[in-house]
Amino acid sequence: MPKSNFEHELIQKCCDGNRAAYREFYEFYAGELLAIAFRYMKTKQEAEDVLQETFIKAFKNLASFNRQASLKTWLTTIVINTALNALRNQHNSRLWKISELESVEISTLPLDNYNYTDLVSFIQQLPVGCQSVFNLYAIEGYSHKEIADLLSISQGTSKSQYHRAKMLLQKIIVSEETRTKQKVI
Amino acid sequence: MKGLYEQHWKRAVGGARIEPSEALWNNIASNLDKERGSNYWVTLLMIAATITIAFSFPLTIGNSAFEVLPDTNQFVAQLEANTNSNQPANLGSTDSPANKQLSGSGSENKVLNTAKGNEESINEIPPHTSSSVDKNVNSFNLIKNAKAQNTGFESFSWNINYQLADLSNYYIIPYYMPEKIDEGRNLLASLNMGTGNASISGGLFSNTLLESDYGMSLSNSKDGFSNAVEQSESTGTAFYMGTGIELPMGNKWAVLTGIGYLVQKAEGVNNVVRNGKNGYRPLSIYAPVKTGSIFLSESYQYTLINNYISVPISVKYPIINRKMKFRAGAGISTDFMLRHTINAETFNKASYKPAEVDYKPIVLSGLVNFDIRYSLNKHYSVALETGFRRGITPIDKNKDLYPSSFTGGIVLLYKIR
Repeated sequence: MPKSNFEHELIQKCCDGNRAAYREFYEFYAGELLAIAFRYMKTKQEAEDVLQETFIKAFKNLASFNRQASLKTWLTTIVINTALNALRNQHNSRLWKISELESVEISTLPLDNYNYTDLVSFIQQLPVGCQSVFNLYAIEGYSHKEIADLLSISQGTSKSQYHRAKMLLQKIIVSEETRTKQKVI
Repeated sequence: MKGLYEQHWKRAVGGARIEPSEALWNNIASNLDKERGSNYWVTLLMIAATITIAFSFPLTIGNSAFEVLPDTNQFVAQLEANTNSNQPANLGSTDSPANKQLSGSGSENKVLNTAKGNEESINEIPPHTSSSVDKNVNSFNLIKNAKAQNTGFESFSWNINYQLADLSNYYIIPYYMPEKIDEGRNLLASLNMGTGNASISGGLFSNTLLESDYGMSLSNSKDGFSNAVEQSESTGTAFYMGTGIELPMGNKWAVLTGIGYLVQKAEGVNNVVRNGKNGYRPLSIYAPVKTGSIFLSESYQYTLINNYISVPISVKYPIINRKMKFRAGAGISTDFMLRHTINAETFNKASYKPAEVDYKPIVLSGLVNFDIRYSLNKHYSVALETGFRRGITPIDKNKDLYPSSFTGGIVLLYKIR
């Protein structure tokens, strides 16, 4: 069955109140959405809280979803917004207080040396503000203007936060490589 | 397109999946149950409100009171002038023994006969007919015991325009096209019935009396004697059966159209009779009244029936869009009159085509409706519907007569795509 038809039927069943369809909907999208939420939050528990809120919002508003649009994109938008709201409520003061970093050369990143869990853990080590901007810009593909609108900051702030995120990640990765080499020696 | 750096990261961490804990779904399901519980209460309240509206409006808004009783003084003055000029004896004189009898207790029941050039001014109606007067409300009721004689009834070709032109009461008959929408294309089968008050014949009967004789609006009192027409109407009924189709417009809106057979029926009582060759007879609704042949006699029941082919088109929007849906809609209906039928127990049934009466052959009505639909399975749904319908164009050619109605119905739907 084509995915669009599958999505359409699944949405219809959910709108009809079919409990099994709710579960099917959840099973189909939860893994991917949890991975997105996990990149924005610091722990899996926080990410699951975000995911729970995301699905409740989605089920509540599924009838109003424009079926010509992509359901995955719609759900991704919900989970990102929910995560950002959670971060605002949690640590508003932490968002943009980042100490000046020493200049780090950002060259070729040895990302292939790390698995998914490692890479996400690197992202999660970033300060919250940098983490959000990095996820939105590098992974989700938002522009700085879109990020500025989404986070109610200026484009300049978004760019500087992203630059700092890159430098921090470089530093984290370098230190991780150093630690690994020391273990080997 | 982002740079190589971003592409590396996206490729490395994008599109991943993390298995959530089982407890997460349990929490979500628990929250959904709470949400659903509150929505069920909202839905139940709306069902109750819908039923209340459907059944209470016909009782409270219906035009149950006759408002066509005319200015009797005007009639009496005209009657006197007319009578005096023709037959000054008896009728124009309040001292006449006959009138004294009429204004009295009614032990001897009389009726006025103003026949042009006739030799008698007062005719007695059968002695077993009695009368009573309620002066407080300035109305007169004849309590009829006698059966009107039923022979020699004549049909008349008198122009009925006057009669219909003064049908001043708009009436409420609940008739309304029930429709239903679901996502996708639905075939509809609708069945709708309702009740309401109807005032169809009040103006008709009273003006039949007077237009022919005096060009006025109604006969009434003279020296305490009220020879007013007694007329009352019971609750009207309507029946609709039809089929149709709905087509979605976007995700929420839907347009519906179809065709159906609509029957409006109103029953009433009247006591207008005429003096036929072979005795007193009920006055045919569309019959002419010869000058001087107005009589009040026993009441008789009549039934008016209008038949239409109805073609409604409307749009609907969901207010609640779940398994049980609550939707509001509005639209327009084009109704093609098939025939108008009059039936009374004391004279023959008469059926008229639209061209023979002054009803318009095509009328437009506005529709506002609400429905609650429940999906039985993938294809079948059932809906309860209530709504309001009011004429946009008058049903009468000469009079602003806009029928309106409240009613409820049931609709079965089959989803074809």
